[in-house]
Amino acid sequence: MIHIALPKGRLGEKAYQIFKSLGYGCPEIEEDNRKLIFENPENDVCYFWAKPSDVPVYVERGAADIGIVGKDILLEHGSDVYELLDLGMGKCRMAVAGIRGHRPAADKTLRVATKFPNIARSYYASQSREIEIIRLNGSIEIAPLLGLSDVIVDIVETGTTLKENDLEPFETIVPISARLIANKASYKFQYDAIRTICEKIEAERSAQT
Amino acid sequence: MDLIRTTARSEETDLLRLQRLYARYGYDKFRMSKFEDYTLYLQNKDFLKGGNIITFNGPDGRLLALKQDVTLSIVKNARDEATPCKVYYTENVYRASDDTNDIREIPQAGVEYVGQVDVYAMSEVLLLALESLSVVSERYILGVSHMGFVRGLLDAADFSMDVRRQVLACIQNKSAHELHALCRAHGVEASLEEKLCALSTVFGKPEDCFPTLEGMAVNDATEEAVRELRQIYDLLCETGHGENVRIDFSVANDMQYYNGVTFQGFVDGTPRSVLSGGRYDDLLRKFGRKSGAIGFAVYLDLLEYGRSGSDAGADALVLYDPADVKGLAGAVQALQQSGRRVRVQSERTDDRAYKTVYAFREGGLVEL
Repeated sequence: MIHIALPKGRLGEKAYQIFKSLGYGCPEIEEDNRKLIFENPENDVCYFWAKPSDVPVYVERGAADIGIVGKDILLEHGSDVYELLDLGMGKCRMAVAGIRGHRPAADKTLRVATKFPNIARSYYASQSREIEIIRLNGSIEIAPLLGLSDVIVDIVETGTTLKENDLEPFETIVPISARLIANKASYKFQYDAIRTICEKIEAERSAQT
Repeated sequence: MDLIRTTARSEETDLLRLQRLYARYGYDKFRMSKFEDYTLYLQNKDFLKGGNIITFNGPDGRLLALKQDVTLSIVKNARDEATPCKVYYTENVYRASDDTNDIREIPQAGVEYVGQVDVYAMSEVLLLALESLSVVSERYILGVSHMGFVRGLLDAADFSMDVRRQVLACIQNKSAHELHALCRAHGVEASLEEKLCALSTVFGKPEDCFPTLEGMAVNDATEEAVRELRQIYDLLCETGHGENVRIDFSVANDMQYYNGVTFQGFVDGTPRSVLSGGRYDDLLRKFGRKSGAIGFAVYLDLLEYGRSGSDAGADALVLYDPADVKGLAGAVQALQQSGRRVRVQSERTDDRAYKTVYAFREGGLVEL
């Protein structure tokens, strides 16, 4: 049986619909109940919902054989998993943003507010820029408006929130989308089952394009 | 002996069996100190498999580290001699986790071969790796790759050092999609791009993968690598272990140190590789040696993953009345001599499961 970790939220629901359309449906997960783990022995699958940033932890430690996770989380946490497919959904980008028209001067330490300190650190290290990371857990956009930081490093989807708050993206760090990840040992011992899932997803994607 | 087998923790029995295995192949035991000069680790940081080094000051002010790796300690003392150095070790290494800073003591066993490395020497080390896996699990796989093949393909693409590292990471993560993007960003020719991407996905029995790899060869280095893999595999098949070998380039290792065959072992039920090794002649070059070297380590701590918790500490429970103990010690000894683990207490105060429970009454044991 393949254990699949799905991220709670829209991305996970969309991913489940893909699995369902490929013959890996699990009626229990669609019912309104308080169960945490959903199994369908007929299709040999077992699903569970996890906080998005925890999905790679479940997969890396073998509690799930495969999982769906955003590239942002993989980059930030550097998990030891196989990244088998780019699902091409949940597309957005990791970007540097700040107050419109106020690009910070390069002659001082840059204060960067972010939920993604590792991504921010490695991006500015590649530019040899001295920065001070201000780690926040949410509402990152407020930081430059209140003078807490010069810029933010965050996910930008449509850019509407930035625009409405008189902010603008300055640079794109990396494009982000959902990835199918697999545990390294599961991939070896359940190779046929996991490869079949990958091939079905790839076939579905190429049929759509 | 049976009693020792049943009472020793699985990790300890594994260790005993591994030691016996390595000794059977004529490897000598190598015992070392728990401490190492910090500079050794600092100068070879990329060779170490992650984890922070735990340091402290020695009495003379030197910065020392708790041993984090065994291979480096063996290699720094190795000499270029006609007789190969064949050693095994069972040591604890100490690492601080990158995420949580927890300090951990990790039991390791391993084998190192330093000297003239030929096909038989390589096959023997891979055979020992396979036999080590068979000691700890019934279901196991040894993923095998060859750094000569990886380097050969990367040389053909003429990547910078930084991009080579990124490409290797994509191969290790089996991310063909990332590899496609990277190749396009650096203007890699289409046929070479296809080969690099294929390398990240190739996985299977060697006899099925060799023709694919031969088709992907682009220069002498890649051709020689496949030839060497074939020779090693043929020798492994002679021992009956061939069916547990898979060609898998995600087990490719650091390019600075590893130059030939590299491998990782997986056992069913354990989420990470429990064995890792390879040919590391280039590490010896850093120490000014001309010899070749190949070896591996088994991470015994990871094997606990696939095991259920131990059963009760005893097979039999003997309950007694403190006012009536005459003859109790002799009765308990007699039970122990029949090979059972016996726990003796005056009252039953827990719900542990015992195969048999006895009461000691009037000088004898009565089964309850």
